[in-house]
Amino acid sequence: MPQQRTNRVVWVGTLLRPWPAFPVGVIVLLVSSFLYVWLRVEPRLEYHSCGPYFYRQRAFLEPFLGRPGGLANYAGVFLAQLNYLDYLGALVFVLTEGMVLLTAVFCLARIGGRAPGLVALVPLFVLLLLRNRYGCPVPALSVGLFLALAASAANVWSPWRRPWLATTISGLISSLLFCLAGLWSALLFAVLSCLFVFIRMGNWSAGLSCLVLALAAPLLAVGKGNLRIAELVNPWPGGVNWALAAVLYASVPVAGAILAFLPEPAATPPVPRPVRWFQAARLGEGVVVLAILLGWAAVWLTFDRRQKFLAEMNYYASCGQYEAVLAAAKEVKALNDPAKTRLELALYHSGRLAEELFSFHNLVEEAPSGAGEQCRALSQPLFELGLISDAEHMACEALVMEGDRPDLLRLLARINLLKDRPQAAQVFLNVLSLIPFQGEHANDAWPIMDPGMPTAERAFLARMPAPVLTNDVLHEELPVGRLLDVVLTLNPTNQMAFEYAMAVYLLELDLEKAVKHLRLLGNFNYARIPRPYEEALVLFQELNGVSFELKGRAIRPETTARFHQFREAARKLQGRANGRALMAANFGDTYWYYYASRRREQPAEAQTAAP
Amino acid sequence: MTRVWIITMMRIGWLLAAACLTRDPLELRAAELPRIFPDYIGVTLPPNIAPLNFKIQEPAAAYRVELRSTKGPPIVISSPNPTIRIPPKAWASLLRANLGQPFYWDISARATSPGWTRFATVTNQIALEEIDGWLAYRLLKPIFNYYTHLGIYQRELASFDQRLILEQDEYNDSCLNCHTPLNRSPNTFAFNIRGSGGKNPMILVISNQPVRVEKTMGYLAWHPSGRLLAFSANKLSLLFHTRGETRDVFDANSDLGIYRVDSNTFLFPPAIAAPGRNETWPAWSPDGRYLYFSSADPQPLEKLRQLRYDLMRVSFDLETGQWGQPELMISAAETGLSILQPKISPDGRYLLVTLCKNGSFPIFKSDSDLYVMDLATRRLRRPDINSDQADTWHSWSSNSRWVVFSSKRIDSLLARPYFSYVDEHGEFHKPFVLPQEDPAFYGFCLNTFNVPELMQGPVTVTKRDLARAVVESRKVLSPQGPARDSSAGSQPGQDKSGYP
Repeated sequence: MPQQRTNRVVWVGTLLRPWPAFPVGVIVLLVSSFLYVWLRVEPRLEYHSCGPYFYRQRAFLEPFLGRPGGLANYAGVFLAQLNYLDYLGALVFVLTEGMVLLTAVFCLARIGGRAPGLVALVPLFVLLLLRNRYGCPVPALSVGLFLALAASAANVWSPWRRPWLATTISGLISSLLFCLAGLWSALLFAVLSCLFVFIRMGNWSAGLSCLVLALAAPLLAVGKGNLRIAELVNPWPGGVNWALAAVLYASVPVAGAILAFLPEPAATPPVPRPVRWFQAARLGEGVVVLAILLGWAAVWLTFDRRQKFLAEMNYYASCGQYEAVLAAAKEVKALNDPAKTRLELALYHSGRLAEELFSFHNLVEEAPSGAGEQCRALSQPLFELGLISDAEHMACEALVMEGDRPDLLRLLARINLLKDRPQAAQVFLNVLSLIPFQGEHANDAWPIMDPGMPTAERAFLARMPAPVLTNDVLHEELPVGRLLDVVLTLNPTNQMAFEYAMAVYLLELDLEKAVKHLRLLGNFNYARIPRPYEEALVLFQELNGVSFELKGRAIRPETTARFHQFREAARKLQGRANGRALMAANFGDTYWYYYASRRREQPAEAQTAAP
Repeated sequence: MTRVWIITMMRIGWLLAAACLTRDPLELRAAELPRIFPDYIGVTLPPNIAPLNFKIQEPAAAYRVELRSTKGPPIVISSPNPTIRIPPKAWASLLRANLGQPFYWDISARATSPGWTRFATVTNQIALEEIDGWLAYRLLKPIFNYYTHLGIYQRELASFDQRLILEQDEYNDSCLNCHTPLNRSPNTFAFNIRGSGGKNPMILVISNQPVRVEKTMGYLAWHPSGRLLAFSANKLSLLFHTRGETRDVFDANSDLGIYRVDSNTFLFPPAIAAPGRNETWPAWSPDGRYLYFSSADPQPLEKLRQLRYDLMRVSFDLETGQWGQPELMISAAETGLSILQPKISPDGRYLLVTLCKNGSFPIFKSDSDLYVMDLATRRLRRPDINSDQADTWHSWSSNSRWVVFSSKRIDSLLARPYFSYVDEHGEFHKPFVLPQEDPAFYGFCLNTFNVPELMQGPVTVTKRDLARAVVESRKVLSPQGPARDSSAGSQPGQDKSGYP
């Protein structure tokens, strides 16, 4: 018994070497990971913009059961729900990191025959790098990695000492892992088993057999036609950075091989124990600290801030925190279409759509975005404008492309309430109730009892700025301007429709229609003509050589003067390398700058005249 | 000793609970039927249907249901919650033993106090005739332009077993639609693929052998001989309304064509591709001597609300390939409605059609209703199976005793398959929705059941073989036909490829 105890102490001491830099470094790394994910990554932003969403329903589980690795993905999706709260998401990440580290240390120590030290931290940094990107299924990757490492740790610490017995057991476990966590976990386990059998048991043929056996189950599945190659190679949902995922799964076996083939450290005479722990710091510990710092630098610098700002716009727009949307919008260099749509909504709700839309000169830039997200973003203002059928159209397109997201389900429930389809609204709310944290409760008496209108829905609908459009306008695609014209014809005092119509026409460079709508200006209580409207009017008059009467309102002289400055600057800076930057610096907040920039991007034949 | 004590206490508890649950009702609300969902009250059931699990929508602390007929032991279910799941074996035995007999459901509920309430007995009927054993349908979200995870499924009607026939994820994400079996056979059927690299082929499965036919075809109708397929060539576009049902479909130009399976050729006979007329929705009579179809004068998009289709038929001789003169069956001018999707019962007695106010795509019209015509008397009537929502996409069983159709009656948005019994007098009985293992299923299902088609057995060709037929070039047929049929009203083929 005392001998066993001594062995345990020796092993624990070995695992934690270099003492105390390694355990201290691990604790610091885990704590800083928690703070980093909580405060910088902000998991709730990812939850809101990318999901994934978990449904407490057997029908949701079934597709996962039908493919290798499905259960690990299912567990990953479940864990991702905790991203709903920043600190919970961070905690889940750090716990998985800790478990991965623990199992990696055990595997590496057994395969390498020495304390792994620094190299055991590599998977943690790779996980952090993966966590930097929203939409990457880190929980699913972590679960798969952990299962493989845990199985390996159990395998290499097990009592059997005969190589072929270890190989046989390895084959069985890798098949099980293939079913639970997919090809990569099974292969990781098989490679680690192979290394162990080869290096520690000295039997290379048994080691190679581990790999061969691990491939049997995947090949069988593909051969029987139950699995496509693409599903086999990529068991995870979209958003995975392949290079990093490969590094993540390869890091432990590569480290194990390196440790095993490094020369054994020379035996040194016992050193007297120092008085203070920091006096023990030597070059090795210094390397650990330096490596951690370098790792953190890589993590910090590769974080995609633009993606975070866009996610913030998405999140705050859905919460109605419009000032926060505007603050995030200012930070993004190039807004994509969904961000522009959210910016317009935030400007409208903060009473600045008419005045400040073109203050955001990042509107000029084009940036790629998903069609589903754009449909989702459009559905909200369309709904608030009273164009509920078109909002339904966009929301349904997004539902198909992006799945049953909570915001879409809630919006579609509201749309169906307005369309006098309460039972359909209840179906959307029922599905919403299946998602953890979403709080809506299914109506047990569905569909006989009137589902009524939940309090939140009633409050929201009461705040709707525009009444629902009751005229039937048959249309193709989504002619927002034309539909808003109908809304304005029915209700010329609808300020939201007016400002949106103006925004649509100005953004589409349709000056004629924009100027025509200025006749409605008197219906609203603007203290003066909003500056972008003035700028558009000046431009229209300049381009067409006509003057436009605005019933007692006049263009301010400073606007006219600034237009002359703009024209003069454009003439002077034409052809100069830094001309655009200078124009942006001086006139980036004007409609003229937006107009000129967009005209430049249009094909030559589409251009008729430019200032 | 402790274990024996625990087991004894559990037995006592169980006996007490059973005694409470099986106590005779104190109160009888004989005049009042219980509220249950789905609505399985007063319906006629096929003897080979899965248990009609349901949920009692009466608040209570406990429930008791007794299902009985004239023969065999009743099924008694006691439950502390309102979801009633019927044991499948006992259900099947009871139905088999009582063909053509009434089927009584006694439902009791116990409030927290004072005791049991028994509702009026629900009387259903077990039909003598079975329904075809399988149902194929397409499952899809309420789609507009985009679609994902769209698939054709099959369901065994005697159980809750649903299987995938083919999902778009299995090949290249193109749309698949218009699955059409030959005489309800699971081994020979056809469906269309849309948007596969600009091509819209048809997948033809004959005796479980799939081939790709490189020809755009729309709505399909097998000739009963299996030697040819009638198809429509449409130029469809998706439109949107700002009130009511958002979606609508406009067919700018359409003709009917014939694809000869045996010779791999197609043609557009003038009788069904008349100049100046738009023909669509083909359906053969069971003897193969007539082709029924909808037909209308072309209208501009702005007149969609005035666009109404007549129902026509034209005689056809399979041996000589001769066509007769088109004959007006139901006039849109007389009915004031658009007549679409004709389907003739296999015994040739009845014609079932959908009528709606206008247009050519009834599932998007809440006023779509099923009408039946007795082909002997040519009397058209509206059976009492319709709702105030869209009722369409109907299909007959092999024995002409059952129809299945899609209805949006539950929630006005999502279509669900309903079955109705047609008795020997041509009367349609109250329809019931496809039973599900979980009676709350339809309250959580965002998929719509599209184009339900009854089949005599399960489709056995694998999804892998079907997907291969879509993407691989091993078995491809390029049918020969006229580049431009001089007598056709419009350009057939690829310019009419927009099927919703």
